[in-house]
Amino acid sequence: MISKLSEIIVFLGLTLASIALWFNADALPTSKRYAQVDSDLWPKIVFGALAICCAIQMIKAVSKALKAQAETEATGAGKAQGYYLRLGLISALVLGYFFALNQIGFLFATVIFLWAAAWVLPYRNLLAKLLFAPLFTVMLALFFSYALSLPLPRGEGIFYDLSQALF
Amino acid sequence: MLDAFASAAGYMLGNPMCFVLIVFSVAWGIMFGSIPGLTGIVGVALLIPFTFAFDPIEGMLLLGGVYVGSTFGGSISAILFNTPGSPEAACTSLDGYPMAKRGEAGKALGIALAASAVGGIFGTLVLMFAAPPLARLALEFGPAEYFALAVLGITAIASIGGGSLVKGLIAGLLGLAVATVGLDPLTGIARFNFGNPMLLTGVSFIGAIIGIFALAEVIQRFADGPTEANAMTEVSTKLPSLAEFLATKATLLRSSVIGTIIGALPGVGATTAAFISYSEAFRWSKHPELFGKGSPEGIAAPESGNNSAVGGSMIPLLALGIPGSATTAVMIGGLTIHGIVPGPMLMQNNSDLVYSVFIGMMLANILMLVFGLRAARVFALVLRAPYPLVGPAIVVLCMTGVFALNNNVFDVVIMLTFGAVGFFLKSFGLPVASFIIGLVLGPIAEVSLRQGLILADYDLMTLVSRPIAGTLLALSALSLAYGLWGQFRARNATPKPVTETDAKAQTDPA
Repeated sequence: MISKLSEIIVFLGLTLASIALWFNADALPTSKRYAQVDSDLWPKIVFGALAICCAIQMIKAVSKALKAQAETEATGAGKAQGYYLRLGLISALVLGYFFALNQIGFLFATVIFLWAAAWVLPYRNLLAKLLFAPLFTVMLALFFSYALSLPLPRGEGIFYDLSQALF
Repeated sequence: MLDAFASAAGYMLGNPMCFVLIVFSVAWGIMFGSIPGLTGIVGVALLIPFTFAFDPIEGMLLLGGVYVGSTFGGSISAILFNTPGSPEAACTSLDGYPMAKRGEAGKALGIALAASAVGGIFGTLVLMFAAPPLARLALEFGPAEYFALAVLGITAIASIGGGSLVKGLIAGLLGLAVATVGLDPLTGIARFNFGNPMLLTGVSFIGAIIGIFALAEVIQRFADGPTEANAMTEVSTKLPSLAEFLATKATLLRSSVIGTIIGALPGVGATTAAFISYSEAFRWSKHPELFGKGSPEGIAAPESGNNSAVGGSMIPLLALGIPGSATTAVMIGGLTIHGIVPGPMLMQNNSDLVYSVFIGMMLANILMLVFGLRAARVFALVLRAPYPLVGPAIVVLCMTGVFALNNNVFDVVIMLTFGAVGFFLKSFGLPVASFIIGLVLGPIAEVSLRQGLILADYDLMTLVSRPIAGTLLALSALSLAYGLWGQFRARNATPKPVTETDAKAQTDPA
C-alpha cells in the first residue's frame, strides 16, 4: 500500500509542478518580434502534455490502490532488509564526499570516502579495504595531474596549500 | 581519385611515423572515451598543440584516430559499469549493462566493438566515395528537416517504455522539459533557471548522463545490498560468434546509414545518431520486448550509429568547411594551425591530406578491432573485483571526470541532482531511455520548429510539406503506427494469465 501511495503522491506532485511550470512559462517576458513563436511556445506544449500524462498516471495509481485496498499487503515488500538504511548511508556519503572535496581537497576527501563506503556493503578482505583507497587515490591524482594536466579539487586553506605542493 | 589515393598511400608508406601516430591516437582515444567525463573532444583538444610538431597530414591522422577511438571507448565503461564514458555511449548502457550483469560482459563488448568497426568503416567508405553529394544533401536540411528528424527520434519515446505507454511518455516529456532550462536560443530570455546564473547555459549533458546512469546505479546497488541479482558471479570474456553477429546485420546496416546521414548534418553529432539508431532498432525489431534487458540489437544499433557518424561528420568538414560535430569543430583548429582552410577547395588543393585522412580513418577502424578485442577481454575482468571497492571508485571517477571537464563544481552538482533523478526514474518504473532521448532531441526539435515556423510565415502546412521534412514526418508516423501495432499484437499474442500459477509459469519458464 505504501508503494502505491508514494506513486500517487509523486504523480500528483508532478502534475502540480507541471501546471505551475506551465504558468511560469506563460509569465515569461514576451518579444514582439517572435510573438507567434515566443519563448513560452515549446515549454507550454511540453508542460501541458506532461501535466495531462501525469494526471492520467495518478488516476491509474489511485484506481490500482483502491482495487488493492481489500488485499493485505506487507509494508516495504520487495525491498531487501536494511534497504533504506543503506540507501541513506550511501547517499549521505556521496553528499559528504562532494562537500569534503571543496573543503579538504581531492586527496583527503577521496581516501576518507573510499574507506567509509567500503564498509557499507559486506566484504571480508580487510587488507584490500585499507590499501585500495590510498592506492587508487594516488594513482588517479597522478594520472589527472601529470598525465592529463587536468584540474582536481584542491580544497581551502591549509589543504589548498598542501595540494599545491603535491600536484 | 585513384591517383590521389595512390599518392596519399605512397606518402604514408614513406612515413612510418604516420602508422605510429595512428596506433597511438586510437589507444589514446579509447582511453579518453572510456573515462567518464573525459570525452573525445578533450582528447582531441589536448593533442592539438602537439600537431605543431608534425606535418599537416600527420597532425590530422593523429586527431582523426583519437576521434575514432574515443567514440568506441565510451562503450567500455557504459557496458561494464553503466557509466557512459562519453555522451554518444549513453545509449549503449541501456542494453550493454544488463547483458554484462547477466555474465556476458565479453559478448556485450564484442558486439559493441564489431558494430563500432562496421559503422566506422561504413562511414569512412561513404566519406571516401560520396562526400560531395552528401554534403550538398546536408545543405538541403533546413529547420523544417531538422524538426522532422527530431520528431523521428522523439516518436520512439512512447513505445520504448516496454510496459506502460503513459510512463514512457512521462519520462520523455520530463527529458524535453529539462532541455528547456537556460537561455532561449531565439530570444535570449532566461527560462526556468530560477535566478541561478549557472543554469543560463542549460543543464550540462555530460553531468546529467553520468548522474542518471552511473551514480543512480551505484546508489541502487548499494541500497539493494548483497543480493544474488547484484552478484556478477560469472564474467564471460567470450566474444559473439559470427552467426550471433550476423543476426544483427539489418540493424547494423540501418544504423550505419542513419549515423552517416546524421553525422553529415552540421550541429547534430554522434549522440543524436546513437539515439535515433536505437529508437529505430527498437521500432523495427522482431523482439522489442528484449530492449533494455540486454538485447544484442540494442548494443549494435547505437554503436554502429555513433561510429558511422564519425565518418559522416567529416563530410561537411572536408567538403564544406562546416563542422558536423563538436569534435570536428575542435579539429578545425588543428587544420587552421597549419594554415589549411577546410572547404570546397580543400579536396582539390590538398588531395594528399584529404585522402591520407580517409586511409588513416580506415586503418584506425581496423586497429580499433585489434585494440578493442584485447581491451574487451581485460576490461571484462574488472567485473570480478568486489563491488564494495569498485562502486565507490566509480563515484570518485565520475565526480573527478565531470569536475575536470570544465573545472566547474556546478557540473558536479548537476551530476548529483541527476543521480537522484535517475534513482527516481528507476524507482517509479519510468524508462531512462525515453528521458535521455527527450533531453538530447528536445533542443533540436524546439529551435528548428520555431525557426521553421518563422521561415514558413507561421504556416504549419508549409513547414511539413517540404519534400525531405514531409518524407521524414511520414516515416515517423508510419514507424510509430507500426511500433504501436507491434506492441498491440505482442500484447494480444500473449495469453492473459488466469490464475496466479499461470502468471508464474509465464514469467518463469523454468
